[in-house]
Amino acid sequence: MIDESVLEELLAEIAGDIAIPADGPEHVLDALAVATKPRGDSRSRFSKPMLSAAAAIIVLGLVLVPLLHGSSSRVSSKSSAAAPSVNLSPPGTVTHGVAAPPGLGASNASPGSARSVAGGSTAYAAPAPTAPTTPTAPATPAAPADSAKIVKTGTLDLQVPHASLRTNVGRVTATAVGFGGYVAQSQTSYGGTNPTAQVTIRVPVAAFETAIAHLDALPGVTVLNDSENGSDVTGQYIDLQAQLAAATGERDALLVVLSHAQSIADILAVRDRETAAQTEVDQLQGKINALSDQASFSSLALTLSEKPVRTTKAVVRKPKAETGLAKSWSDARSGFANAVEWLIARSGGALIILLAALALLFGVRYLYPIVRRGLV
Amino acid sequence: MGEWVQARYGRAFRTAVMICGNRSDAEEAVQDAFLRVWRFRDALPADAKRDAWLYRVLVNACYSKLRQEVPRRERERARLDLAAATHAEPVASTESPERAAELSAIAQALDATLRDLPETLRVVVVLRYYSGLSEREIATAIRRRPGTVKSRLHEARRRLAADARLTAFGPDAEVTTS
Repeated sequence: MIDESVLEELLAEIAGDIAIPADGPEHVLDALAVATKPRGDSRSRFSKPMLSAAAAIIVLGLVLVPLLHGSSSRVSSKSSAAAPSVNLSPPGTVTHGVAAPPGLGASNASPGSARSVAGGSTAYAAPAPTAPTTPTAPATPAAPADSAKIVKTGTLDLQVPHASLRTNVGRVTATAVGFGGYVAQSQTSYGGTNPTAQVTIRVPVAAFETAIAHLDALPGVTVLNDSENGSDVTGQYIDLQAQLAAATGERDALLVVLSHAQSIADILAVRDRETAAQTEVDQLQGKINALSDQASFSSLALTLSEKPVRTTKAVVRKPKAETGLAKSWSDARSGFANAVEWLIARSGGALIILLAALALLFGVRYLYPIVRRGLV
Repeated sequence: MGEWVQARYGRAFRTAVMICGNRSDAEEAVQDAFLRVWRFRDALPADAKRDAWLYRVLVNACYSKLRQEVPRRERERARLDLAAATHAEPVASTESPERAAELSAIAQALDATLRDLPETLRVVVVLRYYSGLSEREIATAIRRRPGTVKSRLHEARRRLAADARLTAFGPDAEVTTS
């Protein structure tokens, strides 16, 4: 067995021959310095002005957007109330305040246009006229700026004539495509007593109202229920953009640091942080893209159902009560059937008894003589 | 932290070299270990046990390096390079030239024998007889019971003593005891 002290001495000898890298501790300390560098350094350089600007824009947006929306809705309602003659179509028909061909209704379908459903007829009021209708009314609301991000969604329950569901689903699809949109989801059930279809279409946000009007005007279609919802996400969009700019700045700064890194530890440490910053950039870009997509294309969920068909009640005739010979014959058949059923039901137990009797007989006939012979 | 690193870097590096078998892996393992110690500095135990913790992290880093998909040929080449670099220069010693030469020869033999030991045994030998950790500290470092450390040390010493490269020096070499 090797002596421990000798082993220590020999290992010290071996270790003494291993040269320690002169810059080893410095490399470690450099790596520690990189690791101890506060994460927020580069971000603060870039993010403060950006965040300030974003905060200012958000505040402005929060103040201006409600004002614009309030004034536009006031003008629209006033104009529709003051000028009922805008709806020139006969009752029962759907008139489009905006008679724009598919794909060209962008400028007319402003968010300020008001809509009213009454008595089965749907009337779309035109956007407010350029001249104020009353002295106190504000001027024509400015159209939303290009940077304004409005997310619009809506639902529409339509009842279509009997056996025309397939045709009307095709019309809905054609409408979506005609307005430059697409069908996001479609689920149709043609079978059964109540064929229905759930179709979600996405149309450019500018053509949202026009598309709804077009769908309401489909021949033979009755609007059972509808709802529309619009929300301004401009502030959220700007906030995300500011965050993206800050994250991009941080990533770029880390890339510069990475290009000057000397040791592996430096590279690894900076690389980790750069990867994290890149991930943040990607996530923010994804959110912005999703928000832009929602603001570019409105989502409209349609439920189409067929009108129920009136069916005549089937007359069920009660059988006449039997009398006389027929009744006796019927009772006899019933009794016979009952007796047979009784016999079959009991035959299981009887079969067991029969088998036991057979076994006993077999024992007495063949086994008993053998046993007796053995005893004698 | 700087002084602490400076004071411990040399021994940690040499320990890592003896475990990993090559300098580059050892250098990276030591850096990783110090970085990890710094990252978890708030959770570190008191000063007395901090070194044991450092060696625990270091051993883990060395294990990681050893288990990386490094081609065996490259590792062998690195070992040969290390051996050549290690024994190229004469050992400076205050002892007599004969004794120094003998010690150097035995050390070379031990080095070769040590490299052939399984890593589980090599680690405990290096930590115990070079790094100076107690059996309990080694147990903490390799996450095994002190009894396991003791038995591994015993087995390692038995194998070293039985190795022909060391026994070739004979009983006069004062390597073995009865």
